[in-house]
Amino acid sequence: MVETTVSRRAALNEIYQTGDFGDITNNSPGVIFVERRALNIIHVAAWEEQVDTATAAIEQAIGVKPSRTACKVMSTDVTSALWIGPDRWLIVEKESRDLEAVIRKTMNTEMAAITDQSHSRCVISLSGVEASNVLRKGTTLDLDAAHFKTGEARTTSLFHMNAIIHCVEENHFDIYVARSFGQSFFEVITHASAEFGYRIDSPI
Amino acid sequence: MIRINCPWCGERNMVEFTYGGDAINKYPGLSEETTAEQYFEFSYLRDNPCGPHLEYWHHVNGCRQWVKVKRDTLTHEVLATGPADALLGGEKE
Ligand SMILES: [Zn+2]
Repeated sequence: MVETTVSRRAALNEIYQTGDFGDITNNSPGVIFVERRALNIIHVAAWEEQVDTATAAIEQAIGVKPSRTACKVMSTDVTSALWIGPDRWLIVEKESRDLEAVIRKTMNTEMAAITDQSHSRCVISLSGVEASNVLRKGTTLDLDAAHFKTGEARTTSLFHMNAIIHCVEENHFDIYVARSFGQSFFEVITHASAEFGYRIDSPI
Repeated sequence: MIRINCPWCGERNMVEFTYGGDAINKYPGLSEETTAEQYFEFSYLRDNPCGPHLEYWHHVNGCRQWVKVKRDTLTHEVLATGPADALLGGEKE
């Protein structure tokens, strides 16, 4: 990776404040927020006739084969591959190695377009018993656990912003929004959570 | 509210889509034989049907694919959907 003098700065860095807010009863917030910082996010778009080769190459690189089933997320302990469209995935992990280089080792541009989008998103983890009720205020998706299952991700319009909602487990979602919308999104979603009481925990 | 069955994502609310125009007319192409009249006809002389109509919708807040939709302009009922190049019936030659 090219060394620069610019250090990485999280999208919510300037406004992030841990603590309890809103209408918390019995010391039990309905929603808990955590910003997921310093993620490596690589966008892979496979060429139609090369999809099988491309998914096999990704598997070789990250240890799990991205799914061609809509909305499915395939994960190892370290890395997740989110389906975001036909033959397109976001490969995501906590920054620890040069993920793009790892992927390019087994893939080439004959198989797919590979783009580093690590700095493009603000990722907020939302959990708690009211998590899905907060999301319901801003999206038309069916968030019933029987329909939106653990290990699925859907791109939608959330509070009028384009967002990927990844259901990590029941009542636990990772939300991906464009970085430039990060503060605005955090503001609206915390407002929407105030009636349930919310806690902002330290970023991870 | 219209619900559109995206061929990739499944049924989604119309707020995730943007309207992409008439899908009945065929683009006249760029060959030398194409006349200004053909472009005029393509650009301005559109049917305005009361009933089933073909149109493009872009699943912009979703999988970002173009979807062809057969929609009843009177009732808003979505009669069929498919990928942009699908033939849903009613396309002009
Ligand atoms: Zn779609």
